[in-house]
Amino acid sequence: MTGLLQTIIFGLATGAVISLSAVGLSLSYGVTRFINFSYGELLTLGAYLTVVAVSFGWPLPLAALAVMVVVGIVGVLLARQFFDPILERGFLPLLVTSVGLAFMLQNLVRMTFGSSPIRFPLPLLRPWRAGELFLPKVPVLVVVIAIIAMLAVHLMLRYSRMGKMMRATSDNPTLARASGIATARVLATTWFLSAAIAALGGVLLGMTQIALQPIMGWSFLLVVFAAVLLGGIGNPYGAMLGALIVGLGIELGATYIAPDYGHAFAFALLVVVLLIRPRGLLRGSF
Amino acid sequence: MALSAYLVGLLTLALIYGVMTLGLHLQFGLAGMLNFGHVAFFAVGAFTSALLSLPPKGSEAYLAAGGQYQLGVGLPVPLAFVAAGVAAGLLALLIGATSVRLSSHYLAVATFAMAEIVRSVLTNEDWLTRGQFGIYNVPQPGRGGPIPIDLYPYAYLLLTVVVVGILLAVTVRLTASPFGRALRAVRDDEVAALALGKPAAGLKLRAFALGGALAGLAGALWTHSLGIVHVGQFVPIITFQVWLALLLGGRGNPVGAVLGAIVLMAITEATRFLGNVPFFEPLTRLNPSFVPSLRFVIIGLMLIAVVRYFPRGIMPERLRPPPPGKLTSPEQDAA
Amino acid sequence: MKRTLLILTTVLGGFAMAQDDTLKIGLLLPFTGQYDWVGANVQPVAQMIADEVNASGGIDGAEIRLLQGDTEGTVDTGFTAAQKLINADGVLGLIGPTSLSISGSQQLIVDSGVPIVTPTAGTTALDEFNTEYIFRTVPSDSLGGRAIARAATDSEYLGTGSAFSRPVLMVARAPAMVSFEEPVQTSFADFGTPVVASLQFTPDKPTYRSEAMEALSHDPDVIVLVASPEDSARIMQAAFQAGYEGTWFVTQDQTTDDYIDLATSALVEGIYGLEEVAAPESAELNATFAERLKAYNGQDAQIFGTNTYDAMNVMALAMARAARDDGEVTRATITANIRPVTDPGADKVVVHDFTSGKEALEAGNEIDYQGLVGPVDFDEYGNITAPFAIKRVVDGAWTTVTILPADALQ
Repeated sequence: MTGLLQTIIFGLATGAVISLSAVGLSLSYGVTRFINFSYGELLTLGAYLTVVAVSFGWPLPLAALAVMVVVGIVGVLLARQFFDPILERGFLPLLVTSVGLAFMLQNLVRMTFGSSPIRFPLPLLRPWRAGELFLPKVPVLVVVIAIIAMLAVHLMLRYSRMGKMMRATSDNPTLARASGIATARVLATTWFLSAAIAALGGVLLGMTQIALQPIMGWSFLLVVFAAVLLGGIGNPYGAMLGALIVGLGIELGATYIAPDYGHAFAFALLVVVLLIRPRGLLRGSF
Repeated sequence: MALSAYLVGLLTLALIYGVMTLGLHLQFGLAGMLNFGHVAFFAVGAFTSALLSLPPKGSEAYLAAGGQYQLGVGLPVPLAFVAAGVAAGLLALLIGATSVRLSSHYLAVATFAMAEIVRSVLTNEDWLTRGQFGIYNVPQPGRGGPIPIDLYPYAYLLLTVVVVGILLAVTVRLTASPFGRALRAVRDDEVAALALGKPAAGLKLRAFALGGALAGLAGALWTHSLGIVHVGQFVPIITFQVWLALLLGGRGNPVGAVLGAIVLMAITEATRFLGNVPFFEPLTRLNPSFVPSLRFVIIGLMLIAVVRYFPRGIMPERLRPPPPGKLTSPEQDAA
Repeated sequence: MKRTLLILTTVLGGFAMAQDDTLKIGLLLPFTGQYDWVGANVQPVAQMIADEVNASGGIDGAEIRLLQGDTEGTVDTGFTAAQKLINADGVLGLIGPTSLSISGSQQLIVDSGVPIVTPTAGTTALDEFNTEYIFRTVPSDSLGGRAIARAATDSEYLGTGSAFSRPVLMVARAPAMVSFEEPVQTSFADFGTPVVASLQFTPDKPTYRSEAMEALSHDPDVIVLVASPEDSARIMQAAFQAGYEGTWFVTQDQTTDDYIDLATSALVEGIYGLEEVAAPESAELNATFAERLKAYNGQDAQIFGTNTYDAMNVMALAMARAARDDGEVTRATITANIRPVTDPGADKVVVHDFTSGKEALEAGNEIDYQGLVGPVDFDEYGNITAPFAIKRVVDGAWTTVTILPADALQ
């Protein structure tokens, strides 16, 4: 029973990181309607910049918050420079632009920090013990932080004026643009939030992985996509649900079926879900 | 002499990627299907052709090729080549059947996911593929025998050009045929096409399978050129490269597809010479990955620039004027 | 139009650079992608030797120049990178490639007669592959695997009271790692303690919880771990968090100070590791190398550092001898001179670095280069054998417990 519990806890933690990252991706997708392949690089940036901040003596939580703001701003600037001018061009040009941007960002990180793995500044923590039960600290922390963050997003979307405007824009971008709701301000806020969340996702990923490499965000991106699509594209709540399923699926499948095929389970799951519900689990808007 | 060998080697690979791009053109350019798992067909084609043409288990030549693989059949290479296309086409049929009803982004990730599953299987089932060791000594027809070793790359380029030419001609024919027109109609407006009685799903599936078969043939061409097949070759980045090639060349035109692959190779390979410029030496001493990373920053910038300033790619779709009396598509009206 | 001009200029400029009088050596390695750290580890050491050569007047007055060929960690780009270095740049020799890239470039290398001395390809696929052009300054994984088994089953080599009785093997599914699996399994069985379980896993996953759990379910007292440093750190952490209290045996890649930092000293205290060494006095040579590298670029020796030191020295000394005896430095003459500078011999002067080697050659002697990873004597297929040092992390640093001589591996 312990084994199953621990597997579930680790699955939840994996799911939490995927989930949070998927929320950010979902937010930006809702407004722009294309798959942003440079999103993973914002996670990488979040993790690496946190290392930099900590090396200046900042405590980890403060560093992470500061990095979230910085990366959020970077996200807005990048979007304004590269995506906004071609938003009307359609899906494929935006996608290729995002790939080009991903190449640029990932390799700028590599140019600056070099290729050797860097250690994420997290102290080593022994698990909590309750008799026979081991409760590892890091995954629990990760889940808690992710939940708080997603709760904050939820509250903001549901109850704030900006949140309402963002939801309207996501429902129907063209109409929103035409009727003046989707102002530059709304767009900028969406980009900011999406990037800041990505940065936090990167920090959580760093906490889970410990060893940082320039390619980390890019490698993680696929699983995030899977979650977003599983849950219904454009819907952050769907993304959370999808991520949970993906995370649990990877851990359960890997433990109880065949460890070799870890990620393949997430994909198999995705395929099965899409066959049954071709638009994902939840409706694609929030 | 070495310089021409360099260009020949690169051109051969570029043309092989061109065949893959041609396949993607059928799937996306004609049928509008977003396939992000193209490399799986490339992989299946390569392994099929290699395994079918490798010497059978137990023979002496088997040991020379590294042994361990289970499936050598010893077929002549041309047969294995055709079989590669068939196998990849069948896989495409299978994958297509499950996803043909999905719309754009779902199709994209579903196909990507399935390609990763295929790669997982190829990696883990090492009784078949020798996994991370790879299979060496894949038969290379004529090499060392009638064709001397240093002339082999040139001969192979000739072969590749011929094969690409044939496939291109077939594709152009297909594009102009009723099948092609029906596909374009489905791509441009599926609802309307359905209303006109075009069996959308079936058409798309056929295009998908043909596109996959082309990628399989590309895989076969490549494995016999290199003389090895290794599961590590078939990574997702290859799918992305084919997409870039398609976009560069103009997605509606088969010739553009092949041209796009050549242009992409020119961009990525020319930027390698950045490292030869002495200016960067002090920076390389500080960070050996500096120039190679800078190369990709430049490649990224170039991609972004091409998309921004050449929105239709190098060769836009050239539409033949519709026969009198038939319906036109909105794009033709605008042209 | 502007873009075409830019490309054209770069290419032509590149060609122009390539046609000068320097002796060009290619570094065919990954500098981007998931194995970007390999190129980053190799280049500084190779550059240090190249600088040493050039500072003393070069080879017959010609300077060595290193050119990068980024394989990006994939086979197809490994092929195009090799094409550039071999056919466009006309390099005289190659340092590298890795176990993966060799598959895409081996035909080109052999056909063009380019000598390669690779510090980064331990795959057993090369064990009996080519007798002319391919040399390695990294022992085949078959040897390293056997050494681990030998040490783990013999308390004398472990420096403790008893040997291990329940070994579990974990191997990453990557070209550089899998060739350890079979030698380890066979060797443990040969030495009387068969492995309890042998687990393969997918590399580069963010966590390894399930893999660690599966290993622990077999109740091992030692886990032999063959993986990249990042994955090793993750697996160790996962096992630690699951309550594992046994120890580990890691391969050469993790037997570095860097790894202790990466995984944190609390996690690695008491683990065993493997390192190639030349002889009892090699500790001193290694220390000298580490100091020299630190003085050169302020960094510690990393994985493949010592292998690269030897590879580059072999290449440079072969070039020096080619200049002396054949009058010219070409691919063919370098290839022909690699064994003469490394094979043992009664009247030969033993050297451990380029400068001493060059002096001895100029004085008319024959030399036998002996390096950091061993005596560097190539067998007919270009492989080396080496004694191994069994090391252990004591008080946060790697210390040598015993030396395993090459003949103890029978």
